[in-house]
Amino acid sequence: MRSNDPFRALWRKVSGPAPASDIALDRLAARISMDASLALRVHGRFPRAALWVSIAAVAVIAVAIGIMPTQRPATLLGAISGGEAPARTFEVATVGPRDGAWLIAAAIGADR
Amino acid sequence: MEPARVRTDLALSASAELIAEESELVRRVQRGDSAAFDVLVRRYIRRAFTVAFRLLDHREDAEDLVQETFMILLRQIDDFELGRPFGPWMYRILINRGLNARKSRALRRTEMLPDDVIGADAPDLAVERAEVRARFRSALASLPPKQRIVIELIELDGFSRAEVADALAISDATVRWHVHDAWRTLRRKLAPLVGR
Repeated sequence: MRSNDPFRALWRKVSGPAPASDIALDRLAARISMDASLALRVHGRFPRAALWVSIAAVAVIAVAIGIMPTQRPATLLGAISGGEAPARTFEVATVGPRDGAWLIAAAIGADR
Repeated sequence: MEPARVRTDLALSASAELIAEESELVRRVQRGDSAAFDVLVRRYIRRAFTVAFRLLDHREDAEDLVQETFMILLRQIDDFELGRPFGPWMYRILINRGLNARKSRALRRTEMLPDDVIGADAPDLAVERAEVRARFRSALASLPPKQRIVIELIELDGFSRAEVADALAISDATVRWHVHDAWRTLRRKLAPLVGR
């Protein structure tokens, strides 16, 4: 396209520069520099190597928690045989003694 | 030596000096020197803002984009390849983020340029100018986003084709094609405006 092209001339005429004064740009630059200065200070105190060490430490802790033996969830059968399951024990207590045999059979079925 | 050759050699040596100087600045930033980063920010902020404004058509959004870009540069400063120019790296991040931001904006807010930026006109001229500007905006909006930024950077902001190719990580031939195709579309859409 030639430099004296009427489209180009018209476009340049109506477009104008981006609306940024020196003061506005100076303010923006100061804001960025302040943020950068803070970030560099943090980066200096907490360099990348330290970051990787802490990530590795967190990963090791997470794996350790993952492989730790966990307590088996309480079951109805466990409650009947004197195990620790207060909510289910209460359930058993509200059923009459007549229903005991059925309850035990249901519990064994459910637990299996 | 021919004048054109002299000019090219001078430009190359100036650019080599610039690259060396900016590499040194980046090295200082990598060691935690915030004053060196400030030099880079102030060197590029005007052009960065211009590009951001072209991409987003909104002053505050453009400022946010520029700030975000420089903070990304700072976070990635250890990955900067010393001996390479700083500008294209910065523009690449800025333009990619700007294009994404524009895509993700559901409703595009646009900001008309204030008249004091363009120059005061008589009222009837101002109305005509606003109408022409609106037609240009609408024609530009019909271009693919990448094509639009290519033509704006070259025609309005004085970027060279090589700079645009570097910033967008595309070949010089692709830039040329974008320019050619964009002008074809603009000419078709704006033909009635010329010669009024």
